[in-house]
Amino acid sequence: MSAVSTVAAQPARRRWLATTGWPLRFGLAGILTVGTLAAFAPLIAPYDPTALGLAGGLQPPSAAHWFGTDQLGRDILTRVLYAARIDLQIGTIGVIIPLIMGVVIGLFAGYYAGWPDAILGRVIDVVTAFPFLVLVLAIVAMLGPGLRNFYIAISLVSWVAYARIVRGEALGVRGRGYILAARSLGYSDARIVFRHLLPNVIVPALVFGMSDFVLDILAGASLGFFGLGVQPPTPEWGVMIAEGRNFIITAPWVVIFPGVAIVVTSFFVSLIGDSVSDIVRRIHAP
Amino acid sequence: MVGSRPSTQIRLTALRAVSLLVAVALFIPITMLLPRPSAGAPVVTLSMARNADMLTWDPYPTGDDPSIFTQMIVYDRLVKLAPTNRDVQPELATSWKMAPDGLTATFTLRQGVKFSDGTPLTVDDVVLSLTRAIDQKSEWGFLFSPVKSVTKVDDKTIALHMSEPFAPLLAALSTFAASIYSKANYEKYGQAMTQHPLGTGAFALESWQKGSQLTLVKNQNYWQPGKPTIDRIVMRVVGDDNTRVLQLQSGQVDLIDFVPPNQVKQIRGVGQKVYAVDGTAVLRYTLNETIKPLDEVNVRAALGHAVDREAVAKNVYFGLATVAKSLLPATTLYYDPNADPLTYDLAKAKAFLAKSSVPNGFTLTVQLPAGNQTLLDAATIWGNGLKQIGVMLKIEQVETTTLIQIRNAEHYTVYNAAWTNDTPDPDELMGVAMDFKSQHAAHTFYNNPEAQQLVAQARRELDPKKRQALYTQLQRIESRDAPQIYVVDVPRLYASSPSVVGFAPNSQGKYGFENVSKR
Amino acid sequence: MIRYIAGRLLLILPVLFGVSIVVFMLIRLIPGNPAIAILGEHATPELIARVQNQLGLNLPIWRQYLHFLGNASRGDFGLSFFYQENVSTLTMERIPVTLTLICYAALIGLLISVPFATLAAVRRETSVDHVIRLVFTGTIGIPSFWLGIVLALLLSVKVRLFPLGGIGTGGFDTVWHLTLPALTIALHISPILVRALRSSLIEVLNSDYVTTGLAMGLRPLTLLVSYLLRNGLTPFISILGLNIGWLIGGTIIIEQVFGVPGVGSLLITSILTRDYSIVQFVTLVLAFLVILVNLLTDLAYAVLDPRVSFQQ
Repeated sequence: MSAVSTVAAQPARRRWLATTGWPLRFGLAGILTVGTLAAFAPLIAPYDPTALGLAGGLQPPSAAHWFGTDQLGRDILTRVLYAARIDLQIGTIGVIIPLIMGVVIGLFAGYYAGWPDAILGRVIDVVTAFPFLVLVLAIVAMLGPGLRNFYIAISLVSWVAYARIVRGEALGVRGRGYILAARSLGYSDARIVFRHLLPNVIVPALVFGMSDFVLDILAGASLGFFGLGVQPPTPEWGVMIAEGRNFIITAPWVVIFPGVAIVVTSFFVSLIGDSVSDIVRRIHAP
Repeated sequence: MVGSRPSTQIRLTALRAVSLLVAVALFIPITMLLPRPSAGAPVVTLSMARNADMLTWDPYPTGDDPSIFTQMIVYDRLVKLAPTNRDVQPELATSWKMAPDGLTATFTLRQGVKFSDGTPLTVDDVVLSLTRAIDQKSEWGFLFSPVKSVTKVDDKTIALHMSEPFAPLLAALSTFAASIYSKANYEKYGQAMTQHPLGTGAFALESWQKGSQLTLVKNQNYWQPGKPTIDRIVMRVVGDDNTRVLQLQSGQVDLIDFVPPNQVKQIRGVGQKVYAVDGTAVLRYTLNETIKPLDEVNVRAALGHAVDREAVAKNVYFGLATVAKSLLPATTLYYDPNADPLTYDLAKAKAFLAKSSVPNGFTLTVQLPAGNQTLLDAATIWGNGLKQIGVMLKIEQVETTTLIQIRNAEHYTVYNAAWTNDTPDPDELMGVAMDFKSQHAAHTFYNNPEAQQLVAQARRELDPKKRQALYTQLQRIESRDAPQIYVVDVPRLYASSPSVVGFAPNSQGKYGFENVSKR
Repeated sequence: MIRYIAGRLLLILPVLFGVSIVVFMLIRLIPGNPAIAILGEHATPELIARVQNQLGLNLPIWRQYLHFLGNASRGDFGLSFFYQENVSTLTMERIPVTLTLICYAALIGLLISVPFATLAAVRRETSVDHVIRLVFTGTIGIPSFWLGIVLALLLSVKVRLFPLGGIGTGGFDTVWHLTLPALTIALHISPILVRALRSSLIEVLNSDYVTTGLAMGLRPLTLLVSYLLRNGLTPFISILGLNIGWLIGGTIIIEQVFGVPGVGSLLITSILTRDYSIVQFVTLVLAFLVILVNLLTDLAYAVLDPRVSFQQ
């Protein structure tokens, strides 16, 4: 989100608001709602997320348990609400760190071209040559499961995607007139890169980041498939789905509700991503 | 902005282009509906989906269940477990005799038995197979520790020589580790026998695409006349529990293993057969006594009384498991449910904890193999009980191979074990649990000379009544000192289509196919 | 252009070299070793030591790597510790399966995403666009293994349309057997493709040459095919190339779920059982594949977008 506002904080703020359609407002409102629900989960949630109700396992949705209960009788609504805290964090941190890493590295490589670009190109090639999930799985297996190690693994792996996008875009625009003009005016490289290059190349990276938000949560789910996701007793949507996968046929609510939570959240995030990219495109329309 | 909207014309064209693409997209599924070649060979094939592939055909270094079960199909043994699980019956041996001093056992070999390649089974094959089996350096040598040598008596008799009377001998000989294979084949392949089995069992190896598919074919030279009635068994590796169930329901396979307990009711509901084999394993927590305060018997007893076993049986195994009342599974010989078992009793747990050095509780870590939902749920239930006596249970999921390493290096705190029981005799389980010398009593560091002496005595004792008394005493000691906390008797679950008849896995988990037919 | 391609091809070697070092170290840094995984719970320390010795695991790691490199240069990638079989033989029959699955999935993915993305872009901000975006932004959040099980339940158990699991008897039968997994992967990847393509098509639609082209009297179909799709496909191809690693990653889970005997499921099992040789070989094969796809992507990018020149 911070990257979004740097882009938006252009002189055209009023235009920005004026051209904002319902998708952005809707997306922002949605994410704010999810965030609020997450923040106030202890006040809103009807039960304790780790309290077992062994007498009432696998109850279908009812008035007492809106989303039903899991096999240990834990209230799924409560767990979905608490999980939002972890998942918003996973999505945000899992995007921001690699985004910053990748954008900075990719920008400079693309701007200078030459040997920094050649080296970066090979590093990117090596990391992208690994299937994403395999690398994350191997790193987590090495470091041990847990949220911190998950962030380390995600950051080590996914910055290259951003670097690749930004580098490609930067290579495409570095020869354009306004960059050359800025250079001939004697502006510092940093100023050219961040004031002139960045706004012109950031859009695809941001669009990718918005889908990456969801991909990070899904990566957490895939790790949960191997028991290496967020560790118990902390509820997390991906792990809830992975742990409930044997109940898909007999007690589908165990996996449907956390799944819906991921889908809804990703929907809001995508709306924001698409709208932001539309807006930036309009502002920087040649 | 305003002028850049596409015209109506362009929209129409786009729609046409889209419909073209949709037509192309539909083409694929349509071509898929074309008639498919059918594999129309007139043979009876039984297909089975298993959760993992086997690794080796050599019993010597075998460690995994799929290898054990598959070797049991392709190899025979001198004796086999009776359907009652209590006794053994003749297999490759027709009769046997124990010397009065209990130090020599002689076995008469069945005559006319041939390996699947047509070569006859001889005494030499048996001597070689068993000599490798009793090698104390092999994975399973411990099952035969008093057996010192195997010798040929004459062309149809072998003798086993023991250093002391050995009551579990016949039970040990019924395990896969005592499988009989061809000496010529072993000498031909050496190390590579792991890939090339030759046995006298009802089926022989046809082909093996490692990690994906194993095909067994009927042994034309099988010694039991008229058997087997199935021509070919195809064993596919399908790691996902749901997929195996769905494959059974869609008719892709006839038989599956590792049925998720929660789906048993639903599978039975649609008319499939479910086989729940009791007594293959007891789920239990192994405590490392080098980690304080687990060295205190009061702490261990408190932990043992805080497991809600009913809840584990009901919520985790959906009523298919039974509450464990001993370290031994209920199907084991000399099992005694009345030897003061550990029960779920929080008042008792609190009382024990109060007598310990940590009366107000402490934090305990349990290491579980990652991805095993059953163990995770069971531990969560334990943690719920422990919380009420002030003990915080921290669950760590560790990647499986890493976990075995941690366990072997004895760096674990609490380890969750559920070994498959290999013999109906309690000697294996009690021996492993109490023998401090070989593996620090299953890595618990529980060192009780009295119990060790009882295990050795029970191994020597040939009188069943006296053995019962010894094992009852051992079970009482185990429950009192709680080096390992037993939870539930875990069932092993298989399911098949109704057309499969005669499938009867035994308490070792063995499933043979010589009596199976397909309607 | 030929010099560019030759240069890029030459660069494959150092990248594969880098990949081999990373995978060699990474897999050995995961605690636990193959001897333990093979022997299981009853293993005695002596037996473990003996097996480790047999496997050459007691050598210093750099010597192990040099061994590996020396053998690899002769085309010998070692034995699988688990299956005692040469890894190249072991994977030879699996690689085509995975390749077929990936291409099949990419094809279905394209067939799903191109029409919907074009429709959404052309009828931008109408209810058609909103519905398409709603559906596809929604489906992005569905974990692939969940989707796979639901599709299997619907299309294989309820309606016995497609077979579930296995690869059939080869040829067309194999393609038929791979339909469900390929469809799962395609549905899993299509939201990203739809959004990327829609967004780039809109950019093109807004540009002057479309307006100019229409004003000049170009036929809309010509315009759509030669300008819109071509220009819109450029970033789209880049996105597809970017996601090839992710596509393969998705394939791995789906192979696991459907019991497809490809290299993906083999790779995962081998990581968990520390079958080093397999992990090394399969990773190198997949890396080679990814590099090749990326090269093709860059070439397509250059051909489609005149702004990018063949420079290094």
